[in-house]
Amino acid sequence: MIATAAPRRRRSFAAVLRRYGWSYLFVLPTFSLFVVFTLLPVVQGLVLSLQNARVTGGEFVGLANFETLAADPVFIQALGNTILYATVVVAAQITLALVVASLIQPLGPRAHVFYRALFYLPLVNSAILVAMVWRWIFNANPYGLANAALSTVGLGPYLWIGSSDQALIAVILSAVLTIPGGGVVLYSAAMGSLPRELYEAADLDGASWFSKWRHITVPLLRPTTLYLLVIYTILAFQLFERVYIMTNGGGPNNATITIVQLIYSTAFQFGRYGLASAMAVVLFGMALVVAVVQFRSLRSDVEY
Amino acid sequence: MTADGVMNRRRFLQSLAAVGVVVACGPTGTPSPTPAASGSQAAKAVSIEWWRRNYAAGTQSAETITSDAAVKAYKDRASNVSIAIQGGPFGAETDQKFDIAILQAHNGPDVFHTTGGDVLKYAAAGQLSQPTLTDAERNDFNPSALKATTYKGTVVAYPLWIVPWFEYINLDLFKEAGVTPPANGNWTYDEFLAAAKKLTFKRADGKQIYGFAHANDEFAFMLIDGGRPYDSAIKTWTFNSADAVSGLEKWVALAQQKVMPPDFLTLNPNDSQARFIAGEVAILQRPSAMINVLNADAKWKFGTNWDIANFPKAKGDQTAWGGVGFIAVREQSDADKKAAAHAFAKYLTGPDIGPDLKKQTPPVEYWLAPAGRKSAAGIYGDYHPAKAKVATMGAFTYVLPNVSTWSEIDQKYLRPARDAALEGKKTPKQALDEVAPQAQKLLDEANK
Amino acid sequence: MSSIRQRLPVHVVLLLAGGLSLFPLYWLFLTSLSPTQYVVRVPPEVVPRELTTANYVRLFETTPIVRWLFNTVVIAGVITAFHLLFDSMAGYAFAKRRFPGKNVMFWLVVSTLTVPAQVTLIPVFFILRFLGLLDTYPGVILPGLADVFGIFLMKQFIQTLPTELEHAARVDGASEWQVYRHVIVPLSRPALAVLAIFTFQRYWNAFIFPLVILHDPSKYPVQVGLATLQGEFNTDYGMLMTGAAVAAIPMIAVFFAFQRHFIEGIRIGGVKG
Repeated sequence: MIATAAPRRRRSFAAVLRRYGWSYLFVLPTFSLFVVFTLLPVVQGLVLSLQNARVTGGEFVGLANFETLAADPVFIQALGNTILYATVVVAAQITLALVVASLIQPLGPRAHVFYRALFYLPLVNSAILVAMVWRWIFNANPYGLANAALSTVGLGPYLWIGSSDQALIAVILSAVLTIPGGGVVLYSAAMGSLPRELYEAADLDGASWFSKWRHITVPLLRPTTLYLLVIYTILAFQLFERVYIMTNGGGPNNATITIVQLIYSTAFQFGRYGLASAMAVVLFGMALVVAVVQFRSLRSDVEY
Repeated sequence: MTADGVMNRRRFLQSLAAVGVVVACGPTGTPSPTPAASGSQAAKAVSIEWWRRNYAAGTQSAETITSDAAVKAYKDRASNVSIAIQGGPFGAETDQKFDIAILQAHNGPDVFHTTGGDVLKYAAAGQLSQPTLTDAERNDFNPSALKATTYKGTVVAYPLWIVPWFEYINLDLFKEAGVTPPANGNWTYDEFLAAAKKLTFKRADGKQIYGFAHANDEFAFMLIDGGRPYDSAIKTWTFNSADAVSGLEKWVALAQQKVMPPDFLTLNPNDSQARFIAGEVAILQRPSAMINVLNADAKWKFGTNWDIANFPKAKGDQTAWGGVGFIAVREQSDADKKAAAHAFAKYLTGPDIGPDLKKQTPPVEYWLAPAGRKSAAGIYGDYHPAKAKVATMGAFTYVLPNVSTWSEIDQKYLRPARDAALEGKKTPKQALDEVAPQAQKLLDEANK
Repeated sequence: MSSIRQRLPVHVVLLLAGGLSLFPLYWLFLTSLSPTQYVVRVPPEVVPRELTTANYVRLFETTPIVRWLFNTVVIAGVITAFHLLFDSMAGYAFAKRRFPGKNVMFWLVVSTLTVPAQVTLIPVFFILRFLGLLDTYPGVILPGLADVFGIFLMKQFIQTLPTELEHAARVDGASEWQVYRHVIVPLSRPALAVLAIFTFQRYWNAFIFPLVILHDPSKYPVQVGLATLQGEFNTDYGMLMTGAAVAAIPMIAVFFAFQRHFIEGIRIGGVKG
C-alpha cells in the first residue's frame, strides 16, 4: 500500500473536485450513455405523447391523447389485465424465489451448484419458444397437456386460452408455475454473503430455523428483495410476448390484451406514435408510483 | 452534368423500358427474347436495392429461392442492372423497419414488396413512384387488384398476386364419414354445414374429428350473403348491414353446431394447417400456400387424399375472401435507379418471369399465388392441378379494398366483435352494431 | 449437519418444482431431436418415440447459424464486459458515495426502466443514424451499453458491504481507485457473476433493436436469424426449435462459467480494521 498523506485543507474548488470528482468519474461512463440512448429518447417519447404524431410527424395537441385513452374501453381493459397480472404474479414470484433459495441454502455446495443450475436453466430458453410451449400446455382440446394432466384426477377439460373467460387465468398460471430462476440465483448469491456470526449467536440462544429465517435472513435480504420487487413489477407491467404468443395477440375478445401490446400495435401497426407514447407515459407513471411505494416500504440501510 | 443531359438520359431509359414492355406483352402474351438487349449496350450500369419480407440469404424459404432466381433471370435480360436483396422476418418489426426507412429516413429500397394498407400509407406520404402503364397493361391487370392499389385516382403500385381463401378437403375423412365431396368444388352453405356436421365424429379409439376449421385472420363468412365491409365508394362502413349480420349468423351457427375444434377462436394460420395435416379437421379454409406443404408430403396425394373446393355459396354471388400483394417503387431523385426499379417491378409482376424461372436448372416455381395480371395468371395453374383450380378463383375473389386504417379496425374492433358473437356472448347484430361507429370513424379518418 | 433423511423432502420438493420449470426447455430439445413430422404432431408427444439429429444437420447446412452465433457472441460479450466494469463503478458510487445530484440521477435511472423498448426504438434509430452507426456492430452495441438495470443491481448489493472496509483501506492510504479495485470489486464477485449472467442472457436474446438497426444479414444475431425461419405461410418448426436449442447452449455455458463465483458463506464481517 502506498502511504501518501492527503492534505486536509485546500482551496474550496479543488476540495470539491477532490471530494466529488471520483464519484462523478465512476458514474460518468454509464450515465452519459444512459442520457444519450435512454433518457433523451424517453424525453422525446414524452414530447410525442403530447402530439398526434404519425410516422411522418404531428402537431401539438396537449392532453388530447390522454383523453382518448381515458375513453377507450380497450385501453381500460389492458390496464385492468396488466394490473391484475402484475399483482398476482409478482407476489408469487418473490415468494417462490425466496422460498426456493432458502430451501437450497442449507444444503451442501454440490447441491447448491446443481439446484442453481436447475432453476436458472429454464431462463436460457428464448421467451418466445417458452410461450409456444405454454400455448400447448393450455390448449383447449382434451389432449392439451394441462387438460390431459387434470383428466387423470377427473377434472376438466377446460377451454383455457380458447375462452375469453379463462385466457387470462391461463397466462397468469403460466407465470406462476415457473420458479423464477433469476430471483433464485440472486437470492442465493446474496444469502451466501450473509455473515455467519448472527446465525451463530441465534443458535446459542436456541432459535428455531423458522425464527432465524424470519428474523435474520429475510430482513437482511431487504436490498435484494427491493431490487426483485421493482424489477419484477416492471417486467410484469411490460407483459407482452408471452401473451402475444399464447393467445394470438389480445386473446379472444381482447381478453388478454396488455398495455405494451397496445403500445406495440398502436405504434407499429396503426402508426399512431403520439397515442402510443401517451400509453407509455401512463405505464411509466404507474410503475414509478409503485416503485416509490416499494422503495419507501423496503428502505433499509442494511450492511453485513 | 447539365439539366438537359440528365433529362435526355432519363427519357432514353424510359423509352427503353417501354419498348421492352411492349414487346413482352405481345398479342399472344407469350414472352419473346427482348430486343431491348441491343439497346442496353448504351444503358449505363445501375444498382438497385430490393426489399423482400422473409428473404433470408442462405436459407431455403420460398421467398429466398424465388427472389434469388428472379435476380438471376433478370440479369440475362438487363445485364447493366445489379440488384441487391434485403430481407427481414415477417412481422410488425420488419414492417417498422420498412416504415422507418421509407417514411422517415426517405432512403430505403428502390423496389419492394408490400401489402394492404401499407401501399396507401406510403402513397399518402408521397413516397411511391407512379407506374406508367399502357392501356394494354392496365386491362391486363385484375380490376379489383388494380383498384386496391389506387390512391386518389392514381395507380401507385404494381399488383403482384391475388390470394384467395378456399376450402381444403380431406377426402379420406369424407369417405370415412360417408359424405360426398362437392361436385366441381361448388356447394351451398346448407350443403357445407350438413357435410361439416357429418364430418364431426369421434372414432372408436377416442380421437375426435372436427368438420371445419379456419384461422383467425379472415372474415370470409361475413361476405357469404353479399355483405361487404364498405360501399362501392369506400366511404361508408357496411359490415353491419343485414347481409353482413346474416353472414355472421351463419358463421356463429358453425360454432353452435360444434363442428369446429374447441380452440377455434385462437387458431393462427400455422396451427390450423397443423390440424388439417394431422387429420383432425376435414375441411380447412386457407389460402394457397398449404398446397406446397401438402405436395411435399408423400402421404397427401391430390385427388386421392385431398382436394380443393370453393368457398360455399349462400344468398350472395359466389365469392371468396382474398388479399393482394404488390410491388412498389419508391419515389426518389435518382432517375436512373427509379427507372430501373420500375422496369424490374414490371418484370416481377409480368408474364415473362414465370417461364424464365421454369427454364432455370433446377426449375423454380416463381408464383406463390395466382398473378394479378391475366396474361401471367395461367402460369400458376401450370405448376400443379391443385393450383389450376385456384387460378380460376381470381375471377370471383373479393379483394379487400385498401383502407389505411383497416388494420386498426380489424384488430381493435372487428375481431373482438366476431369473437364475442362466436362465443355466444353477444348476438351478431349486437356485436356488429356496437363497433360500427368506431369503424366508421376510422374509415373517415382514412378518407381524409 | 442434518442427515439425508431429514433433507429428503426438501430435495423432492425442489426437484419437482425445478422439473416443472424445466419442462419447456426439455420440450425444446426433444423437438429438435425429433423427426419434423412429429413436431406438428397433434396431440403432442411428451415422451420421445424416435430421435434423430437430422434437424441439426439441416440447420447447419441450410442456414448461416454459425455466423449468427458468432455475431451474437460478439455483441453480447462486449456489452457484458462493459457492464461488468462500469456498472460496478456506478453502483459503488450510488451505494457508498455522496455527491450532489445523486438522488436525482438514481431516480432518473430507475424510473426509465419502466419504459418499454418499443418507445425508445425510433428515437434511438435516428440518433444512430445521425452518428452514422446504422448497420454496424457499434450501432447495435451502444444502446445495450445504456441499459441501466445493472446499475440498480450493483447498487443494491454494494450497499450491503460494510463501510469499515473502505475506511480502513483509505486510512491505509489507498487511492479512490484502489479502494474500488481492491476492496469493492473482490467483495462484489457474487453480484458481478449474477450481472454477467443476466446481461449476457438479455443481449443474447436481443431481437427488436438489432432487427431494425441492421440491414446486412451477415451481421444478424441469432434471434433475428431464427425469426427469418418463420414464414408468412409456413414455419419450419423443426428448424426453429433446433436453432433455439443451439442458441441456448452458449448461455448454459456462460451460466456455468460464472456461477462458480457465487462464494459460499464469505466471511465479510470478520475483517476488522
